[in-house]
Amino acid sequence: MPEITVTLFGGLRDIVAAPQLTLDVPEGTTVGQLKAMLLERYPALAPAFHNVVTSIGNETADDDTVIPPGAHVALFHPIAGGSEAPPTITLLTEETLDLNDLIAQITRPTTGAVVFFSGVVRGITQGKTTAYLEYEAYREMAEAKLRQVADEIRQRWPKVEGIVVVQRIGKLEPGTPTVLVACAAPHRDDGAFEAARYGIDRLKEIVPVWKKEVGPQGQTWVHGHYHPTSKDETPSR
Amino acid sequence: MPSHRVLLFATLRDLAGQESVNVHLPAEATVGQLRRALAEQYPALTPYLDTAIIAVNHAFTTDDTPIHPEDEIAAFPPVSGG
Repeated sequence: MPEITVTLFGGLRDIVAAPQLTLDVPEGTTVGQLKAMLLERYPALAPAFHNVVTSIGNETADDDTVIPPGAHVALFHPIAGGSEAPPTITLLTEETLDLNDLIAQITRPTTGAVVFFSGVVRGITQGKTTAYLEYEAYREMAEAKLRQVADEIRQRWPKVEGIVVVQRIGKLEPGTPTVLVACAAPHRDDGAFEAARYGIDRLKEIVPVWKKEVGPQGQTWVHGHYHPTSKDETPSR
Repeated sequence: MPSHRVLLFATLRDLAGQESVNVHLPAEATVGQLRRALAEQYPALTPYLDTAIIAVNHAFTTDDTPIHPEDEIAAFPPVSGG
């Protein structure tokens, strides 16, 4: 039976737990039949599959398209790939940050570079021990401001495609990732480094989240230094 | 005078000992007036009010920003997320 290569992008990749599959399929197999085969092997794909985009080589394919022997077939979950607006993920969460998953979600077929910054709870600061940090948020406003950070990145770095701006809150112990800012682009020189740097700096200015340091000496709220005003509401400062 | 609920976060909430306070303000008041009214009506907050950020309907303000009866108002210290 002819062999074909199937590449999966974004969330699909996580469900299958592999970026690429090599499959033997009968000659004359169509895209629709391939999808049915994949669903049989990976039933968890079902929710993501109803509007999945398929391409063979560089051409978009529909369910009736016959897959030629040796073809490279790509499947995109529409949120993470295809030709629509690039993915933007902003989130305030109490759950563990899955850095690999978040990066996979902004990786599109055209992505060649992802720069990410993750802040981590520091256990020792100039000899002083931190037992844990307690993060609190003004939830609705924080969610709106995380979106604003992503919007500002998008406006300033048009070549940046996928953007992640995620803040974790709650009680977080040393070594735990607390924040993730990631910017994906076709190439590393497309502004991804600068964009990610801007994202974390801006988050620390305008997203209403506070941390309380708890250690052997007691607990103290950490205060920032930036005083945002109405001017910070217009995306281009 | 109309009363406005002000949400408090972090240090301000700890100082007040509650998650929100009610502040009496004249009609058509501004954020600057709110800042002064908070200091008068909740003296415990005074040390932090000069540097406090006041948000109206999830937006940052200046002391000239007007306050309307249905607005959601919050006061908090400069943010320290990340």
